[in-house]
Amino acid sequence: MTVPMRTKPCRRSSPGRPGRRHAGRARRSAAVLATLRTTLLGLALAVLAAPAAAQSLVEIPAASYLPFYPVAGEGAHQVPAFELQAHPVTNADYLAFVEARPEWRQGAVPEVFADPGYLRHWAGPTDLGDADPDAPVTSVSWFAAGAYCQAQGLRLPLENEWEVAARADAERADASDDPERRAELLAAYSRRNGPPGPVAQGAPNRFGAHDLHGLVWEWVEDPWSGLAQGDSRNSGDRDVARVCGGASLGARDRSDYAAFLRYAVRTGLGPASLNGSLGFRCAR
Amino acid sequence: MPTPKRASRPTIVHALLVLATLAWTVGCGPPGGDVAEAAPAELLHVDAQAAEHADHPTALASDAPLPGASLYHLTADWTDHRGEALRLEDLRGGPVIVTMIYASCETACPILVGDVQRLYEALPEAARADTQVLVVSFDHERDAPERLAAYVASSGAEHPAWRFAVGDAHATRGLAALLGVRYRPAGDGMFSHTNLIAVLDPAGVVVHRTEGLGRPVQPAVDAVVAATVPGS
Repeated sequence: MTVPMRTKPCRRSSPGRPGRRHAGRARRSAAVLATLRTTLLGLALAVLAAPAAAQSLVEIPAASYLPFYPVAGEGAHQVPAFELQAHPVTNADYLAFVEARPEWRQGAVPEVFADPGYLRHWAGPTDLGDADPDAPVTSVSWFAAGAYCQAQGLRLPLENEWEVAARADAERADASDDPERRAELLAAYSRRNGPPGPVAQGAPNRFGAHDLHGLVWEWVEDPWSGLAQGDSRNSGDRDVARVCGGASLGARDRSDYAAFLRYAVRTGLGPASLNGSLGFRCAR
Repeated sequence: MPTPKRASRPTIVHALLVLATLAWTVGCGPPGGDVAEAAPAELLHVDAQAAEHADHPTALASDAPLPGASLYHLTADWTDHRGEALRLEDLRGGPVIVTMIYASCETACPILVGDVQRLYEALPEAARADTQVLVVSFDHERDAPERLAAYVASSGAEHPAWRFAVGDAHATRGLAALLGVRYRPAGDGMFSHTNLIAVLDPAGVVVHRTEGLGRPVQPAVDAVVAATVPGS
């Protein structure tokens, strides 16, 4: 491969050293300024080096959680305390990511990582167009969401973690058994048609997390584990078991349609899947 | 390489950078000193970006572009049972038979590995010479390479063209999802999981899946043979 020769741009040679007349005063002020420079640069770099500063993380305390579809004999899982972003990753957050990482822009991502339609609500690879910068980013695949989180030094939440965070309401750490709340969640899910509105407009839940139910479905790190088969020796008819058997027979609480919907949505996704009401947030 | 723009940088960063720049301008100290101070920070930032790019999943080692559906876009690092580093793209160039197991699995996995052996032995000699076998563990927390080596030894699956590999949690989930393998810890170190054998063509595209245990190997044999035909 030939590399085209390019002449170096002309540069002024280094300026001469300052005269020696005011050397003492210059040294003192230079020392003060050097300290100031170092401090300011340090501060700037400290902020730059904390990419998660784009949005805060809230602490989700340790909890016991029985998966919605327990495999035979499976008891409650102990979910250790973790941190979760306070709201879904926004279009503006994701734009900053693709500006820094061109390989995750529209048109650059191979189909193995994202189905056609990746970021389809944007006007261009680095142009939000009419998309609300403060609304959750949608039409992102599991691979893209994972890459975003990794770039922030974070990760996607595990399914059990996400469910633990999401079962809290404004007062209770676990409001999942409340029939009224279940009805509210179902109503919220049914409103998911059309672009989601901006994040963090309402009151957070008890842990300080916003929008776990109000705006979009959210990716988790392990969406494909929910309806894995209990007996590893059995085989075949996996999809039938997943869609029919799982839904009607395996569920922990058949009256919790909201939870059923979440698991059904997640388990139907592939790692390159996208849609306009599916976003994500990161965890640590 | 220019430092990429970041649109949503908090305003405080801009303010601090402006102040830092001002301090420089006012300082007018010996240029050498400033450069020495500034360079490491600048370089650190640029190096971090370069490092991110270097391990990006779409980075290609070979000249020919990979098909969009190729699993070889995954550039995660794996380690095989011989302790050797492995990237999926290292397998590029011939058909690959892939399955996923875990070493503590006593019922399904030995049968599954046996199925792969049956498949491998049923291949016509010419196709077999071009074919590699990749067995990936989804028990990444416990299946260190030594453990996989013991598993290989005890199951009689040692073969130069066979590699048993383990990687990190995210890479393992991504590969499993692309192959169509679902797995889930079921307590006591056991997993519930899909039993699946996939065939990749020389460019890393999945061209066949056999799901289940003890299934006939002929469809997979046909897929491997088709993948070895030049120009296919």
